[in-house]
Amino acid sequence: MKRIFTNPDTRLRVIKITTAIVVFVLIFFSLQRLLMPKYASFALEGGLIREYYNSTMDQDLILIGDCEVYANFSTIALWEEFGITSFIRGSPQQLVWKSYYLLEDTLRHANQMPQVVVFNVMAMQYGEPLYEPYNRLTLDGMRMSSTKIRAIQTSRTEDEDWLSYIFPFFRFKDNWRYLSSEDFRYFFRDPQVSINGFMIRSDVVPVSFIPQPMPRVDFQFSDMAYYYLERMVQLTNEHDIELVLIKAPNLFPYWFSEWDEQIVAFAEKHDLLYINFLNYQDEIGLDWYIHSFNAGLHLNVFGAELMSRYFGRILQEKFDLPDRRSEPDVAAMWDAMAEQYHNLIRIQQEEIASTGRISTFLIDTNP
Amino acid sequence: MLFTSFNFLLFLGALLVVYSLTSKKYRWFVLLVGSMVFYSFAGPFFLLYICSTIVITYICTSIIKRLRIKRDAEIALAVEKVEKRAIREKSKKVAKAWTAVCLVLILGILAVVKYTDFVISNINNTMGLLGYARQFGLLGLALPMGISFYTFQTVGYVVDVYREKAEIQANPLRLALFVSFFPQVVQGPLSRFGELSKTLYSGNPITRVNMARGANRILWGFFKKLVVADRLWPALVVLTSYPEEYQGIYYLLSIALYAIILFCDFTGGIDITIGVAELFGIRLPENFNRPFYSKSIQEYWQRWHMTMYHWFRDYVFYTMAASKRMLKFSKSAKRFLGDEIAKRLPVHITLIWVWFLTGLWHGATWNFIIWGLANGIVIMVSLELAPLYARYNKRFSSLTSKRVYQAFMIFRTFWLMNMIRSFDIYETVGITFNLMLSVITNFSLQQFLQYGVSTLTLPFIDYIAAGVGLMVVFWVSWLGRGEIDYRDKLDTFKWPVRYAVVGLILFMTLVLGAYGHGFDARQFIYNMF
Amino acid sequence: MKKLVLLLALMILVTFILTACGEEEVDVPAEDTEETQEVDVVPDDASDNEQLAETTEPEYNYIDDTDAHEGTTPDAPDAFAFIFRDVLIEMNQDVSQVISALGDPDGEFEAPSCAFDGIDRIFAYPGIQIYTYPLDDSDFIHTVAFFDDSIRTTEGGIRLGANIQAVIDVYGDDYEYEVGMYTFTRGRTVLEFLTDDGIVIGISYRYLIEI
Repeated sequence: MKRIFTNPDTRLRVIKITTAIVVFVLIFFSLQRLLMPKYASFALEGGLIREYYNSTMDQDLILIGDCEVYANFSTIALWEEFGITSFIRGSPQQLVWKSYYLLEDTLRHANQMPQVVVFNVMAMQYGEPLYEPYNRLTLDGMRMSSTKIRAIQTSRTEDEDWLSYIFPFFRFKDNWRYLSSEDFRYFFRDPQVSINGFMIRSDVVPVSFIPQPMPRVDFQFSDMAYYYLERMVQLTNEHDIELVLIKAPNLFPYWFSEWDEQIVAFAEKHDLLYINFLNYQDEIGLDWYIHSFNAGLHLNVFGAELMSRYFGRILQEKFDLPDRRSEPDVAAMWDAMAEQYHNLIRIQQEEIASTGRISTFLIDTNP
Repeated sequence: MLFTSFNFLLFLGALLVVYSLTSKKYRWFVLLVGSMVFYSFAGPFFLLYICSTIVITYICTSIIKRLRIKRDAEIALAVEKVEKRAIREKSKKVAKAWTAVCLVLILGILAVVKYTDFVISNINNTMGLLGYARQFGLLGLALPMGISFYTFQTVGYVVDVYREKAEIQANPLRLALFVSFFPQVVQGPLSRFGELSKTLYSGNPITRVNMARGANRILWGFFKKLVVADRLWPALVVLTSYPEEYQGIYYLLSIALYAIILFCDFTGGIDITIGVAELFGIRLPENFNRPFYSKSIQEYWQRWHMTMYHWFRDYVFYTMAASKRMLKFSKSAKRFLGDEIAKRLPVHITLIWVWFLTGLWHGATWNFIIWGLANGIVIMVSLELAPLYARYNKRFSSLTSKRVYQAFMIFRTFWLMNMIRSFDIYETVGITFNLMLSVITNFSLQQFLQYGVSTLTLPFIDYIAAGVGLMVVFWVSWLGRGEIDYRDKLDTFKWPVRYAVVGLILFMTLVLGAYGHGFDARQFIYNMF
Repeated sequence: MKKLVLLLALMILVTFILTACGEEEVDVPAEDTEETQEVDVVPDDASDNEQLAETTEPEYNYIDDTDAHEGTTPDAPDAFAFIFRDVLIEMNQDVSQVISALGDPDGEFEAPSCAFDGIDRIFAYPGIQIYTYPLDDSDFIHTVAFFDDSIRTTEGGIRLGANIQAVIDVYGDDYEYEVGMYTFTRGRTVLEFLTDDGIVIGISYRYLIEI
């Protein structure tokens, strides 16, 4: 060590090498940042997972699952109606093991433990890793941790390699072909795609035709799906959190009664509340001709608000979730988010009125 | 294990660590173990082939060694010169026999695995033409990785031993290392035992300089392979897979593309090979010397795949051309053809034979044989016309000395080589000849003007990326003009500039390289021989 | 000396054995230009004929329940194709060609992939549903599924409700079986018969898309 400082040649060499390494690291991570998709105009759902870390991370209610949670439940409606603070950690095709690891990640980072976790059971039908793009949409948004490592290990398909998850540069390096102004605009700051995990769509595409489901003979959920559902139960029990299972309402894809029976049995076995909202659509007041933005797959914001009011009442009655509207700091923050929410709905409605379609999807943080 | 794979880098890193922790005396053994591990990734079964070659060579050369010891002892006892000469002659005869046995066996392995199906299919075709319905089944033998390269390298060693130009390696494991040394087993360069053994067994330490220079060379190889060769490859696949759709100007495009791809692929692989060896302080021979600056085919082959050229020259051409049989033939030909022709005939016959073998070595197909013969014929014609060229150059020296004329010769040689090389890439000889003709009969200019390269599956921006890469290749080649190692030239730059250049090449490789998601990792072209 | 010669003789024998019992060459990838290939890795798995049955395949009594379909066999021996209302539907075909031949579907459903620039579509015609995936600016057929026992497979006239033995009689026994599903493969296309207690409850033609 002494030689480094006393010998000028060695000193110079160390300086050169250190400078080279620092410059390399800077350029490498800058390029990684530039080349990674920003999810600002394409595949916005890819931006959902990362947004949790920008929140206060002290919500009373966490919803976990696939597109049926981030489209069908309005966090602002829950706030405005009941004062319930919530976050939806949803992502496209979020398979059960990803849901488990996201729950673990959420609880690890939470400043305050949630009181209730809601899990949408649609993904129980999948028993093995499926598609690499959906893995990326969920896993790339997670902060590096042992939880993420295990999530990667479980979710990886055969053709995926570790290196591209540790350094997403190696997955997205070819995006140099598609670089646009958006990549530079959002270099330092990610676009906001949701309000605490809820993605706002106020357009209407009414249901017209529902395809028949493909026949099946095997309805048994896989061991892998059950294993991770069990772990969710364990994890929530450890932290004294109530776990609620739901099946969000939709017209497609089909939810078979044989699946539903298994969830009912599981919920009974573990003394969990399970609500299949498919059975309560009339009561909720859902009308798939006006409450869907994609012809029966998901609810639009108006349907999601109805859904949230219905579900929020149940949650508050059953689990006595606190009404935080009387807490000034919390209220100020949530009221600001509510303003962004209503602002975006207004903009989208204006766009629909003038052009027939929505072109604004991002949350304007300075409305 | 592909050179351009992450697994190879991990393997190399691990080997460097183990090597540096091993004492100097046993470092060569670490390289041997590493080489065997590397080779086993191609399929553990194939280790048996390379080990057979090693064992056969060891046994035969050991026998030759014993013969020499016996010979020397007898000579020491002999008194008369005549007696000594007789002992030498006899020993040489027996040594020759054992050399022949060794060569037959190791070349036999190569011949059987590589050419059996070629022979069978030709027999079947001939029988079909003659009206026989019977067809022999093909054996479908899998080709062990690098068999052509390590067999030829071993043949060179055995012949050098016979000629007493190389010391016989008494340690079978050291011999095994020479045959199987992992950086070069895949695609050369073909090394001579005498040269390689100077550094192969030295147990050189890993030094900062070797690491820097070796890593630099490896990076350069990655750049050429990934940024240029692999990126352009999909376009070439389309061009050559649909020859009926891509004729005339597209044929010219495909052979030009192939020239670029082959150059970057092969030289890139050799750069990685030489760079990896350099990390361990081992010197391998250079294999290329700016071949596209050649002004004639002859010159081209003295700049392209130089070790193969030298191998065929030293072990086939000279041996055959200077053999007693050939001299005898030349003598008897004088009677019918005159002195001049009879003097040149052995050279020409040998030349054609060498190029026939060269073609055959590249692949067990008529395409490669025709390719080899085409090279041989062009060179033969050039030799015949040499006096005419000399008179022409003297007469028009003011023209031929001009740079424009030199450039024309380079341009001409480039395209002539491209056309000869086109036998490599099309399925049959017939298709290749038709495409050559199509340059005149169906130039397809209108098709090209309408569609350009848009139907070749490659986005246009990829051509730009490869083009930028190619410009960098040219620039580095220009740096190394005058037969200077481009790294030595780089060393003359100030260190921030030097680091910036290397950094730029590194990042270009990382970003523009055709690897990772969405790319099928491609073997080096010469791996397949 | 004698030992060395003996060893050499042994090596000759070993060499002879080696060259006589090499392994099968792997399939030459389309992009390679040389006919003789070197292989890096000897494949572990075998050909398409490998059985992947997870459960024991049940045995059924044969019930003759087929009405031979006398339609035209599609001219694609290395791939399955389906003829519906005299229109040839090939797997991985541009669906617009089929729609223009068949006319507008009874129903059309778009299922946007949760995130991607592309929409999976389902087109319903009486008795069948055609599923497509997006590629560039077109939609290509990846599945044709039967939902009605009036629809029959083109090659063998098999319909929903048929006995699986009838299927095997028509299509042979070169299939893969997994939990009620019998899968016959031709090239990149498969014909699947889903059975429950030996009776066919689902039939679909599929194209194996590379993801």
